[in-house]
Amino acid sequence: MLLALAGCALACVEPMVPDHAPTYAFTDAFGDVFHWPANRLPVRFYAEPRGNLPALVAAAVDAWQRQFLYGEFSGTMVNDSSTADVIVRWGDSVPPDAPPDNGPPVRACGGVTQGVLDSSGAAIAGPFETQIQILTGTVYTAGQVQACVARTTIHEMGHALGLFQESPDTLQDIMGAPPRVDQPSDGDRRTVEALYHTPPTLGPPPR
Amino acid sequence: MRRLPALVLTLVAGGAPAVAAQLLLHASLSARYSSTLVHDSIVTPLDVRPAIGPALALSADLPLSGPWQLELLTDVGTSSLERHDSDGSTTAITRLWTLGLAVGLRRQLHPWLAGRFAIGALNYLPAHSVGLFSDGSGGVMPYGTLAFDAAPAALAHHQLAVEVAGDLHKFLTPALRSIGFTDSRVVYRISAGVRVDLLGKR
Repeated sequence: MLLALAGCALACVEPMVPDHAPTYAFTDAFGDVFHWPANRLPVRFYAEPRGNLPALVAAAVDAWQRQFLYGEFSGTMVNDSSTADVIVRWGDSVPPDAPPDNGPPVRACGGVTQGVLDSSGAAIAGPFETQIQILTGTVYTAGQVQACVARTTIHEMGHALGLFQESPDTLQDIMGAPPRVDQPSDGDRRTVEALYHTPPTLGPPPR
Repeated sequence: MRRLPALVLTLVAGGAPAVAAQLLLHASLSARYSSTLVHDSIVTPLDVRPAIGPALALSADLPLSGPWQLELLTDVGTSSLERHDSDGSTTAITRLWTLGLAVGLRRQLHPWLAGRFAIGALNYLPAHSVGLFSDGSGGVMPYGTLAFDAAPAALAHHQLAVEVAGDLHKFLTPALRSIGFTDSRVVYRISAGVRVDLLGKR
């Protein structure tokens, strides 16, 4: 018991809690907050089986999952789009698979994620739908395109997690538009952490 | 240094049977409470700690001079690692195992009461490398443990005893360090259960 008392006394010396303040806003245009609730985890992601899109989406889900320390979010890939919470497709053409280019980022692709509200306006009506598009105005190498679609997929999955706004810091944050970094930053982590500890005002889509 | 093999041979050839005759083996099964591993605040305060779970310990006592015995201890525990939010909700993070190895001293304090203290190494083994364990568990950490076991006549007759144990260690993982935690947190664990003599008697 003495040991327990000593432990209690020592435990009272609390380690310093790090700064978790978000670095950009995560609400939608009307100030609503959405994140996947605990009873909907793991969130189900479907990627159409063309090119390396399933691998890109799986890597993006993993990249976001690694930002959470305390079990706030988890995702899994599913093979059936009818059971998915998030559906990801190519917008048009499928880029050739190639090792991602490590050079300066170029805007060789784009992405869009849509979540539609139901008639009550209090919940998402159906699965989030994401499209990853290859831009054709300028010719880029296959490696540059792959690097672009990798970071854009992470960016779009950030929107599907509930980060509805773009970060103003396009040099640091994956949620900057267009994204110029390969992985979520410390600012992205702090923002998505804060989102998942903020009571949502929008419910998830029905399953 | 050449005397060491000779000494070992002497123990094996001559002393081992005598030692084996005095060797005591015990097992204990207990319920274990752990204090908070992480206290954090993201919008609102939260605590992460293992739920109360079972712990199994095996120990071997070897005679020393006087009333003391050398005790070698191995301890395995498991429980669900949970996040407790300030609104009262609880979320499971992963299943957590702990493995401890320790060496200590033990003695009878009364005919019905024994006590021991030990120091050793403790390792956290999460079922999945997620969350605060995503970059590993932080490796082996030292811990100290203190235990008492009481064997009233009714229990001693069945080679049973009631055991209460507590231990202390420090906790910090690489993932926690990477987000800005700089200091380890002191964690204490308390367990209460039943101890049984497997070989030899008290």
